Amino acid sequence: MKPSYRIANLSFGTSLWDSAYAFEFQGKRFEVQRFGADFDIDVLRAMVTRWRHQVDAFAISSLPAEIRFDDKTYVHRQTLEIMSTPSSVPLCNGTSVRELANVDGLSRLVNQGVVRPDHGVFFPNVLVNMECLACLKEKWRDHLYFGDAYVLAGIPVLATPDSLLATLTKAGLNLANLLDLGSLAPRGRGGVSRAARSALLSQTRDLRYVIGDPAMLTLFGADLDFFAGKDVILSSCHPAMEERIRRHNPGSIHHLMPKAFRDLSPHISHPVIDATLRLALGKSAPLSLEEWQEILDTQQAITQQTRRFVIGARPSIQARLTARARNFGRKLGPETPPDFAFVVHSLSYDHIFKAKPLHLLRNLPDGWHDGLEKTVAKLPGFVYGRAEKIISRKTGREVRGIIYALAATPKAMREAPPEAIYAKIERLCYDAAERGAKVIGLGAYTKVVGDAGATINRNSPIPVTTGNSLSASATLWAAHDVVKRMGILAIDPDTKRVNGVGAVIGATGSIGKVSAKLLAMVFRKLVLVAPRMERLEELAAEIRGLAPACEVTISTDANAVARECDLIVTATSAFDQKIVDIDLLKPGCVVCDCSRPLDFTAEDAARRPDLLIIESGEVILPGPQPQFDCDLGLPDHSVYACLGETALLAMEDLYEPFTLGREIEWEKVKRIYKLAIEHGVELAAIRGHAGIVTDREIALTREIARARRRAKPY
Amino acid sequence: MTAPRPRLLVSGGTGFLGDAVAPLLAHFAEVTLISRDKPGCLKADLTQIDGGIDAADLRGRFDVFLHMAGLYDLRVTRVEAHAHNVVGTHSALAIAQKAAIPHFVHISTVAVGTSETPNKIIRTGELEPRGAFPDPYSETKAAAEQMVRSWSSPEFKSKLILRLGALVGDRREGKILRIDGPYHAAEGLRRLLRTAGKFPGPLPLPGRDGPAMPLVPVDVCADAIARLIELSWGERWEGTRCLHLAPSRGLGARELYASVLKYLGHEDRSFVLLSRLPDWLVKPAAEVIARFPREELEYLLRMPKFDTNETEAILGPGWCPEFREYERAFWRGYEAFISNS
Repeated sequence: MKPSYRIANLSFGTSLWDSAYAFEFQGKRFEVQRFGADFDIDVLRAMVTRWRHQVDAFAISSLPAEIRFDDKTYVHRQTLEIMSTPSSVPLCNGTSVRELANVDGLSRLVNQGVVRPDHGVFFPNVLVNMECLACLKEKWRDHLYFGDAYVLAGIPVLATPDSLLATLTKAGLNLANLLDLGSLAPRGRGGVSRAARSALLSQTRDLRYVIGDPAMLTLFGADLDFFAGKDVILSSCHPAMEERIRRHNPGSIHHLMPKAFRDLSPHISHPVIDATLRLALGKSAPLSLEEWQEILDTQQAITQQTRRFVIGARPSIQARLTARARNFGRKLGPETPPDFAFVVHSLSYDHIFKAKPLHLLRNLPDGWHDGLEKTVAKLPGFVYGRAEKIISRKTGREVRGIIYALAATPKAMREAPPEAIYAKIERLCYDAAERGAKVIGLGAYTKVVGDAGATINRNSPIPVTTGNSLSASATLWAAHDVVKRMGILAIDPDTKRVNGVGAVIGATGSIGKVSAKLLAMVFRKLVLVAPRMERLEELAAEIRGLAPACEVTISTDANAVARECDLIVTATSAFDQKIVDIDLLKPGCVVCDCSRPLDFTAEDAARRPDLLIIESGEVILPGPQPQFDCDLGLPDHSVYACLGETALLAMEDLYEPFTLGREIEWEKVKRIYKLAIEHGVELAAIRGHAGIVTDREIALTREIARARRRAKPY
Repeated sequence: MTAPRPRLLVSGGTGFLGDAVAPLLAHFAEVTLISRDKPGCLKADLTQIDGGIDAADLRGRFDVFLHMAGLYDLRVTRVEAHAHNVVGTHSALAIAQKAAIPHFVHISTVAVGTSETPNKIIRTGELEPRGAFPDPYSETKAAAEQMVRSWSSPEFKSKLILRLGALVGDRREGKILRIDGPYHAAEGLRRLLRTAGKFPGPLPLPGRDGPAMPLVPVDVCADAIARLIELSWGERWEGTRCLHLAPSRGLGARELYASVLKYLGHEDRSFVLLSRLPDWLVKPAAEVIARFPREELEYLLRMPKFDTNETEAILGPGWCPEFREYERAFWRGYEAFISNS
């Protein structure tokens, strides 16, 4: 039986267009039902709450998404509220898909000469098609006209892109945030006077193109005949809506939606594509623009254009004020007790200033840096932020976390007496327990200090974990994924082992040891590197016992063995020393940099494009949009695996000191991996120094590596 | 050639109307009822996606889906009304589509016309609501009817939409399950006479001369539904058709009050309709003085007229009795209800 997925397409718009349809995609069957909420936000929310255990994904449509305008991003508070409704399945709004598809589709039409914007373009409601506007604005500024004033207020004035309008629009968007979306929804304008209609008609007469969303256009269509003779460009498709538009005799109809998707079903919409692809690919977290680009196979130029439009936008004052107001409200209201707590610290000097009161000190003269670093290291820990909307896929329950920070940098931590650090962390443990947290995790170097959490655990009122079990799991998860995608190494059909050499630098450390054991299970040959030979010998003996088929060698000098390795996992605490010379590495080698701070720099990565350096260890917590109101120094929604482990313990109601001390237990690594899969914790998109490692990047690295190997055989 | 007995899948077959309809359907059809909990029925909850069942399992087992389920309550929230009336209809359509049931009968209501002005005559064509609806019930029923019309599926051969008048007790016993619509007039007037009984002049009452309530006794309505389904099956109707199941005249405010006063033993008491006062003044006054529910007053003040010519052409003129023909049974049923509660 084919795997089958059910998607509920919840539209903020009218239920008139409700439908049920099914299609097959990548060998899987998808059943979609569209439900209209009739412009009622409460109805929409109730549907999400009622059905979150009955569907595999929600596709949320017709809710005004982020409006990117004048380099700012405006999001309506109710849109945010709906998109962050607790749900154990993803809520997909298709924003990135829409932006990419629209920019791509429109650019193609213009480049092919099918659409000539100099003949006049009418956007009945440009606010929902800003990416199309961004596409045309630079070259054809004088030929673009907007009907938003008519849609929203019945004023028959065509607007053009100029600055006064921009100011008015911004004010309007800020004001709109205060109103209910239901009252803003443009419905059929039956009450508008005949004079206003004909005034609009006469103004649009000479414009050749109409660009818009069919749902919006049909709202117009009931009253207006401005489609007659014009070329209509539709950003999404729906057979019944198109039929309505055809009744008004348009010259022609063009679609911006890629044909491949329209062929799946004539009812398909961007949020449904978003949901379908995420289900087909097994990604519950939102995808990045690069991932979408790869999936939709748009040209790189298009992504860059879209990226300029998307990334260039900062949150608007309105969006920031809304966020502030929410935070303020949270402070006023009774605090929901957190389920878990987590301690982080500044990872570098610059990182110190990410904490709110300390950011005022960021412009101190260079000579003061050392003094400041030492001084802030003495500060007690403080509440850095909160984690919310983490929803287990297994239980559907939401867990919350509280995140504490110490201002001390790794260097300051190493220099300070361990008992001082202990005292600070213990104080945080008591604070967390008082707030209601049931487990606390130690991030970064807070777990390296002293006996790696054991003392802290003894003195803490709640169990303590270092989170290293999941860190180890996630590292190997990432390495495995990348090696597979690189496709350079073959699997020996006889031994079923990867025909290559794996290496672990820092093999005797806690993460290194488990990594070594895991690699020993799959690689033909394993090299262990660490500074102390006797420890290495012990480990090698243990591994030979576990995996007799793997050839194990040991070394204290990474550079001596660097040339022969196909996969290198580094898990050191090297503090500013170079652990291996990057120039010595074999072309096509995959480097999994698990050290914090990183062993390799961005310059290293740039110098060797034939290597794939990944920073591993991050995971994505389950829930449609887990929220962190503080900066953990990681992109998007990913979190450190050790934080992931702490959250997992809370999700499983497993309140025990899961990982402590320097040793990572083999059994625990396996168990936490199983829990991660059950609760829906996922490997974050694998990241290198320059951002996400895409399939395209991997292919490129592979080509360069092959070329270099041919030029100078290793 | 006579058509074989149709196989009917019926939602809402266990309510006030359903109890009257189901036995009549059994005369000419194989009937399966959908219910959330009643034994012997197909277990499904239409507020869930696909009713919470695997509709594909029903493929080829039914010929007609009769969708009577809905939430008839003028005071529920929009969220509740939407879940039962709009989502309920969506689920019924989705089940019919997946189970390949070719004929869909949707029970709508005359309330879908309440967004129009009172002097307009509502035809049986497509709805194009212009103004606001008085309550979530009528709004969601209108949305449901529009959805039935626009739902596109190759599986459907015919769609029959029946807009029912306001249901009252049957012609013989007048038995009712709750107080609504015209029955509120009796409650209100009773209170008014108690407080203002001594008032010398004519009693001032809310209402207008134009609008009339399209009352239909439940047994008459059930009979009409059963006959129309039998007919549409026998004659193999195709496409979308809409009929009004309402009396040609209806009950005006003046006639209603006269009847209530007679029932309460104040036959000789005179009254005057506050037809000149604006609605915004009449409604709160009636609510405060006689505790007339405001939602119900809307219907008394602004019910438009309904074109019943087509129904009469099919079912015969006089298929639906006017109020005076069953007035006594009406009050008997009301009496029985209040003495039992």
